[in-house]
Amino acid sequence: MKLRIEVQELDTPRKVVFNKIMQSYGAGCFPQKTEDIGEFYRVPIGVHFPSSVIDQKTNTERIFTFHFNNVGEFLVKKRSLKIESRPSQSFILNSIREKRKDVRDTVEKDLIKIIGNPKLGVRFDVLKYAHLGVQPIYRTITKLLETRGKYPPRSEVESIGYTDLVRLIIDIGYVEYNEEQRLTPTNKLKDLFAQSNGDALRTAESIIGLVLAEHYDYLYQTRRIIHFVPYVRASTAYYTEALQFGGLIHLTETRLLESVQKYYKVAARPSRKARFGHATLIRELLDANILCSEDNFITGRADILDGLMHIREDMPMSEPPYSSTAE
Amino acid sequence: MIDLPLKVKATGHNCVPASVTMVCAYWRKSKPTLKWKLPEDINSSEWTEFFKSGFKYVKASGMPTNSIKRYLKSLNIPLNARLEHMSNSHQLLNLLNVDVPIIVFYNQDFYLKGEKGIGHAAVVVDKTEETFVTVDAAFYPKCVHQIPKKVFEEAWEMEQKSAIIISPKSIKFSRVKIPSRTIPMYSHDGVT
Repeated sequence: MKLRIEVQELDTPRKVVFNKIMQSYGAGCFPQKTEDIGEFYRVPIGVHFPSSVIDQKTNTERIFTFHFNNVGEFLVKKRSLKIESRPSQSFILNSIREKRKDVRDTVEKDLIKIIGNPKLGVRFDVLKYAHLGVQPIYRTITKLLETRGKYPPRSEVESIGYTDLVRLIIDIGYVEYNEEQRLTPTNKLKDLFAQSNGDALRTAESIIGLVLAEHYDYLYQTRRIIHFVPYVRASTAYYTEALQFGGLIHLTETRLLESVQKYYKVAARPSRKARFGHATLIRELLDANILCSEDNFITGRADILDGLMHIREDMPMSEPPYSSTAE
Repeated sequence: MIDLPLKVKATGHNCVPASVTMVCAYWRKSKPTLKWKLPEDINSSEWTEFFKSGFKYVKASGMPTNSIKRYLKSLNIPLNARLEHMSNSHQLLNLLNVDVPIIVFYNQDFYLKGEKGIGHAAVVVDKTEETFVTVDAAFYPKCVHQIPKKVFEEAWEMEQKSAIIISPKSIKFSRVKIPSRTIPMYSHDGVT
């Protein structure tokens, strides 16, 4: 049997690019505005990227589509309408990853600021591994509060080798050098101490939260104090998913680990040590009141999510009407 | 109306392997004499496996149509797949008249919400006076879905009237290319 079909001639740069997109990338990509640049047409391409979020307690899946522009570009010869250059599949994938990273970073930044607020009562002391990197902050605060009147001179502080961490507490205004060049608590620290019912350890926890909120990037990227990173990643992964969903969701431990892999480029199958560590990490996040537990599922805190909700409006994302399914 | 014997559920970019599976199941039933390795019973686990094996060809940007050919070849499916950008919807009718179901890409966000969004694959199985009848894996279990002709044509145009024709190798196609600009001698004033 022979069938006759009438097809469009690929006689415009847009059609040429669209055809190649369908052949090599898929219907998620789309050509954007064609630009005339001398001998060539430049056609940037965008991508619609679906992302699924599941609430495992109710078995409800919602599919959201992220819309990212300029994930690559085609150059089409003007004379012959042949494609001179085009992005590789991996280039597009990396561009999508980068754009997603921007969304994740926004959530991460705001999340740290929110959980750093002492009013939320996050217990940083239970994040055992995280304490390794910020012990000097912890010790400085407890020492200042417990040994009143015997404040260390600048020379002593500088001799211990953690001056940059002490400087972070000075920067947020909780300690200062007095006229005699001794490190002393400010009224802000004294107020916080009073609010914590005179508990030096709780005050120190609050200070760690405040330092993190203001200086996480410095601690992680400049000082390479990485001990907080797994906690921040797991929390960000949960709240990014919840933010897309538009409400608190319920996840299993395994699913949360998958989400961390989705938002951070970490190994698809972590080492055995890391997998054991994950359970401990989740338990500590639950104890610290950053995440919560409900009917054996991991969920979040409404006040934290509320603080992040403003990001949702700016997310380059839409939800198809058919996307919600209770399985 | 072409009856697709197998209906599958799909979300996100999986609409393409879902549509391919449904069309292959149709050909399995209507052309049993071809060299099939998949069983005639479309409820068997092999068909589920066939559908799932398509996921590995789905990338972050969708499923490239070149991969459909590889997908069919890797599983020894005796069918050909081709991507075409049709000139108009009459071409769909021509194929439906000879019982060839067509996978079309149309802008489903435009159809459902009136705003431009992601391209979506569904199988066109019939046309009525005012609608195109599709089998759409996104609407599972109510897969059979009628789309008003005018909206369909607009949403399809946004995806350059793209269609995937999966058919037995015995069906040959002769393609007539229609330029997007009117040839001067045929235009009203002789000038394009």
